[in-house]
Amino acid sequence: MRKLYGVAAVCLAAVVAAFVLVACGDEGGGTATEGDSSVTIAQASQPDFLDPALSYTVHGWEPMWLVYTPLLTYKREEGEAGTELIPGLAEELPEVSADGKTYRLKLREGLRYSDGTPVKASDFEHTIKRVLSMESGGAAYFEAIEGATEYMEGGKANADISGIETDDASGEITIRLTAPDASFSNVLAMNFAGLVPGDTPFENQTKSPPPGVGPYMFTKSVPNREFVLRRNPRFDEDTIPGVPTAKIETVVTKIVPSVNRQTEQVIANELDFMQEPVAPDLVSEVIERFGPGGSEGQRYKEFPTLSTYFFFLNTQEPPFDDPKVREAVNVGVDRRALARLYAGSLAPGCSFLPPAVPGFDEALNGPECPFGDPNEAPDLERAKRLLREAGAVGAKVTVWGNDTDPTPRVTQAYADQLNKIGFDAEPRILDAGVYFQAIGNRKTKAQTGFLNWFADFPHPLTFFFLFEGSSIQPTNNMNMSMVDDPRVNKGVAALRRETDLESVADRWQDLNRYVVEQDYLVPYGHRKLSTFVSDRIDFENCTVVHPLYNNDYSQWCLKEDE
Amino acid sequence: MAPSTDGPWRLTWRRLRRDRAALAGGLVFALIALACLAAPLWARHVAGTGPEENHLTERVVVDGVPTDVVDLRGTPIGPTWSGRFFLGADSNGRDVMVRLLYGGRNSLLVGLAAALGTIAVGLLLGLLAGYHRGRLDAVVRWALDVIWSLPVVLVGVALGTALALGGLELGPLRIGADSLAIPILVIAVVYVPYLARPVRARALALREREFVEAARAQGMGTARIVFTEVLPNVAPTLVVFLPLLVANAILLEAALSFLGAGVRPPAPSWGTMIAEGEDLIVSAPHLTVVPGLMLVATVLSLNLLGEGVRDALDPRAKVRIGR
Repeated sequence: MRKLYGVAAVCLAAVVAAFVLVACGDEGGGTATEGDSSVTIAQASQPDFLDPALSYTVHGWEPMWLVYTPLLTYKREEGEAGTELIPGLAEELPEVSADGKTYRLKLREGLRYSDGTPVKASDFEHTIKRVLSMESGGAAYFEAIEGATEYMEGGKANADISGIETDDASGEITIRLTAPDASFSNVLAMNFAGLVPGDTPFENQTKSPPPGVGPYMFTKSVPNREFVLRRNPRFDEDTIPGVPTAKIETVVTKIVPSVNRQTEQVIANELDFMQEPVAPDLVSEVIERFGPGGSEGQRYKEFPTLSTYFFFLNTQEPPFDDPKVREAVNVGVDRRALARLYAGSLAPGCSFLPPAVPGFDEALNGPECPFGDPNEAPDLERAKRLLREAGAVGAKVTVWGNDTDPTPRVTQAYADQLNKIGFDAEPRILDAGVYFQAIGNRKTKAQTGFLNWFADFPHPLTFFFLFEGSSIQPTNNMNMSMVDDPRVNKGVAALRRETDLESVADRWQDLNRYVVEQDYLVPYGHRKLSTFVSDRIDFENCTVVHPLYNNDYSQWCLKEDE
Repeated sequence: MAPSTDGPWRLTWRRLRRDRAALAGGLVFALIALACLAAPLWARHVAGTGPEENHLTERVVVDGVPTDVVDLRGTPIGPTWSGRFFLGADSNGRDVMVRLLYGGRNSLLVGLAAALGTIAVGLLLGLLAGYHRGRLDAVVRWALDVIWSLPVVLVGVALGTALALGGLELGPLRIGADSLAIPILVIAVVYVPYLARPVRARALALREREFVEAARAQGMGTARIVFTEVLPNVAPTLVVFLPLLVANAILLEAALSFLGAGVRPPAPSWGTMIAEGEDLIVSAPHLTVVPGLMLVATVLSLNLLGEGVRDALDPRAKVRIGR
């Protein structure tokens, strides 16, 4: 009998162990506090940084653009209207000189950071110095400023940038560029240029994010666990016309790695929002219950993004330094197969520029794709032949990817496709919080891996930034393919000056086709994302999806009975 | 009645043969191990695919109807109960049956190797500390207490994660980040105290016994006494511990792999398979249920066998691993 009990106990323990394995993957998301205008939301991984000078991911930018307003910003509206520039901390849009090289702005009067420190014009120069001196992934955008290159080469963080002149008394800021740049106003509206106080250290501030000017402020940051946004008491409707104050007092962001768990908790109203797209396993249920015309009232919607999903191919590391090898990869990759891993949210394509960005080439997303129609099976025989001709059969390749679903599966599928062509490929999955730092470090010598790119601003330049030679840097590098092609550099430099974007769209289209044909990347599609909120949030009136920064937390509001 | 002339091992075997639960456990474990060893045969001759091969856009005929292995919404096919995709596919369109068998090889390999590693290190430390006593004993006990006081899974995850990025370099020894040697090493280390402590206690008792005194009086060296007099008397403890250690090591491997610190995808193990299936637990429950059941069956069978061996060797003994 004792033995019977023992067997039963072991049985029970083993069954419990199996289920505990399923249950213990991560911590719970927490519960939104009722009645105190607080919401709890989730991200699957820690943002790369919670420092405006360094962060360069959607996970970081979505919360941070509500904390750090730059001199210029965008209308807080959905669709094309949201791409219109408006003055941020500056009084007006910049006054640009006739030669397009000098920008003059004036700071609004009476601005204060969330900690009460007055905002000074010289803080702008300090902000840009932080971006340049900390080897930020966005540094290349600001190298157009006169003296920026010398400043970086000098290696002294407190040195002057000759092209930036500021006057704290009058609030005037003058920026001189080395060459005209029609997109520079957009650059000034990037998150990197969100002003921080002049005494903010020249080092990563993720654990204690500096104060900013915006509807929210950071009050807590525990990496890999949570960070908290609280309404900025020094920000009101008049601070920056067009930038609304936060309606909800506190936004607690939990790091909940399991997208399934996030989805279940939003369904059960235990989480108020999930930053990730809904889990593929539950998307049908969510659409049926909470989608447009859903059985339980709408709280879910999908929206297109200005994004391209691709694999980078490091052109300076074997075997991808050989164009024929890169072509073999592009020909052999099965884009239809990869799209299935996104549960219907990714449209297969070969175009580097996504739809709605000038220069997008619709033909590339169909039969005119030089590697074959992305909606059809790949020509594996041709890919194998190319690889044989390049003498790269059996070449060892490490395929890098992060652990945010479905990227691990995409990375594994891509590695398998490389193996089918004839490579000896192994996937290497890293935590999403350190992924970009790891592969953006030149010492890693990452050969190929997952990358997605969302428009920083509505301009093809934000995509070609990835292939400009000047973007290559030792750390936080975003030019993962390590492309330094004179034709690309020259083309981008020339087009950068053009103020009428539509009139040069065909030239951007040529450049788009060129980088695809040079096999600098393996584009495989463009993705829709989704907004899914709890029943507490007034979905109909208060969920605004900005075309560049996605979900605008500051405009959320709770239903009246909450 | 004449006294039995059977040796202790023969006596143990006779007792074990009478324990049906233990025999059933041993048989089930042997079948699972054989099936896993035969994984390449199943993969080549029945399924026609390897454990890491994706079939995302392929179709198979199920009940006369061509069906997507993975549909446009990303949901994989369930069990077909025929050669290809016998137990269904995972979200990458990989054959679950093939991965289950190959995953079992990895899980069993890690479990067995880790248990043997634990025995090797634990035995050495336990014997040295117990026989020598004094300072050596104090240092070993302190080290064991430190490892003992740390939560096994937490230590495993910490070590596994730290070693997963750059691998391990110990002088000329270089272990790659994706090598199975990493989880084997991690698991072997964290279970050392569970074996070393009882071995030390046994060695402490044995060193005072008459036959050891006699060996010393005959002028035998320490090493010879330890290996010819003490070790044979510790062997039953090791035999009892082996299946229990293997079972625990397999469970810990599954936990570490589930948490991303064990076997590295796309290499399968039961833990990684459960982790990969977690995201589709509603629409494709077979992805977690199948490896979960294999894990339960293996651990249960090893525990039954281990308990049987313990009862056969010493019906009064109590052996526990884990807290």
